[in-house]
Amino acid sequence: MGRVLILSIEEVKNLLEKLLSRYKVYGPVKAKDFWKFEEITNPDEVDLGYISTMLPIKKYFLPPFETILHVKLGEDKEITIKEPEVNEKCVLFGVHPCDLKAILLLDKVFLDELKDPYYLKRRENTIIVALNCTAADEYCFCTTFGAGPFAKEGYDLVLTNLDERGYVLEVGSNKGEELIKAMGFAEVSDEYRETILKRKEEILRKMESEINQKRRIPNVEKLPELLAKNFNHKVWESMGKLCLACGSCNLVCPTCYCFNVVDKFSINLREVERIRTWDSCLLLEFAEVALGGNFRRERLARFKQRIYHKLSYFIEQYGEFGCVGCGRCIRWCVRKIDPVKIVGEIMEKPVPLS
Amino acid sequence: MNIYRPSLAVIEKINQETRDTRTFTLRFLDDDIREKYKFNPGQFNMISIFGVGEAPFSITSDPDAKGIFEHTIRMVGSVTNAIFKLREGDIVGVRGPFGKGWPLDEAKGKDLLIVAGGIGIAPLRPVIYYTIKHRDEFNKVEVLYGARTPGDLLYVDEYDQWKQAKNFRLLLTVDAVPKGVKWDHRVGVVTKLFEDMETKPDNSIVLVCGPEIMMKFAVKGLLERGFSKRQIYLSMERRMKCGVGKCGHCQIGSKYVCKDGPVFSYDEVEPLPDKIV
Repeated sequence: MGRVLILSIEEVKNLLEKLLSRYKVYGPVKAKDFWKFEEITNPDEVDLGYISTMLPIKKYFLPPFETILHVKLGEDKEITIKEPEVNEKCVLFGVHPCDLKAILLLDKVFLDELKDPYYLKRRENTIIVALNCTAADEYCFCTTFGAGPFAKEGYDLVLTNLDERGYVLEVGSNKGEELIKAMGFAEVSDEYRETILKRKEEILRKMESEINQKRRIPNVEKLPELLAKNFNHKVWESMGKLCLACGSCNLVCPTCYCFNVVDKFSINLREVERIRTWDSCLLLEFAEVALGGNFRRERLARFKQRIYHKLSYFIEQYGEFGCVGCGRCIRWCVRKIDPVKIVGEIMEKPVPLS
Repeated sequence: MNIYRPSLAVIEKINQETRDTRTFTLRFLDDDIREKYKFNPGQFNMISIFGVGEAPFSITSDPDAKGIFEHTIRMVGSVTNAIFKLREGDIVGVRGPFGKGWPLDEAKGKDLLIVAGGIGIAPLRPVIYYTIKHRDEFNKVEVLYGARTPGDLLYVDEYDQWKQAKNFRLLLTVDAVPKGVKWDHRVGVVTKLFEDMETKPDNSIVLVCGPEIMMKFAVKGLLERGFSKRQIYLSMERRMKCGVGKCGHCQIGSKYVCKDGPVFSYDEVEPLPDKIV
């Protein structure tokens, strides 16, 4: 660990090539007018200049649809339950720090004392090559939560683009070290290493100040208390009316983890797939109980639930903010509802804190 | 062990309690699982009807009973409709027990007031079993129970046994008495019974379960009578898909009903959003 290498763009492609020969590799690919994480078969498909993908990498750990049990209903009341096997070993190449941080937050949910076996297996089987951000758009606000622009932990390898000098490659885990050992890249001199790391630090400061200027929640440590005291602030009502409760924000959010579970019968009624699917707290049915009872029937209640969960409840539950500032919920909202603006309005005219 | 994998259990007995409610006695097929299975009063299981789905049900049997456990189920939705089609000898899937039950350790040496509405008596029945069996660990036990009509009362055959226990009172009320039905108890909502109860706020614990609107008025009445928010405990109901704090459905504010509850003190519940109580 702690090793630093310099890779030219050709060498980055070599690295990808080598990874492709051993693993399934997923990376950022340019679609028509957005980016997406997709399986890569050729290093040239990867676009390392991407800002943000539409769907976050949670789809590789918590797939949108996933069979969690196979059940066979035999003759004479015999029931056989089989757990699906999760064996794919893969590499996520070019993961931005906000998305990486989001996975570390999902770990808190799925890998607590009652571990989710499928999530765990995928985490163990996945190598993460992070890509520090050297560009951001007007929606990015990772600095608010310390989730970016550079990754602090959780990666096996991390790349940082230093322009003409190529990419800095740093190792973050034993798994990463093993990989690099096999690649045979040349080590850099101690002196050059210092220069590179200094340059990297300069880029980080520049990116931080750029993002802070564009979009930031100030005094974020006071946010949970501020939100608790402003549950009935008038900004909620107007935003709640704007919201269409379509659930897009849940789908694109890298930390939204709620899921539904449904049973699907085969045509002969002898086999059942128990399937979990992504769910959305913005949808009416989410909190519905028997006899049509619903504890969040009002759209406003559902709208507030998502934002309060990210910025307040998650801290009580898991000790950290549940938002990484990736900006997706604003970027992809059809009404361009902006939680940072909502918080800003509350900060401007809050119910006074005691 | 896969947290989503149910263990198979056979329906040993089905008891028709009322026109829409039955008690199912279940036994795990696997010896080892059956031996090890233990629950605390107030905890719940996730019951699977394969092909239809899975839903949470509170456990309603004697926590000291070995080898079997019971669920009292009212027919209200897709899973419960499927459960009502089952017969003795049929097999279901069971995961559990889950959640935090009633605070019986805290109640030891104190008076225990139980307030139940409708099927809300189901998760409290294990407490009644427990207090009767371990009678010396508690002071007075008083059960206030309300249902819609006399025909909707659950566990009627057991009342005599309950009332025979030392220092144990059972007070009943119903919303309405159909013509021709004999009824010697109160008529009115369950809070009416507060007028007849003996339990005082000093050195007592209150356990409440019922529809949330009923719990709202029960809590209000208790607070007016000097009980504190910390001595009142409620069992909350929310949609659940996993039972283990993952699927997110049961959250009320920062609380997961499945793992932080379903039993909460009113002190904990009061500041939460999106609730009636």
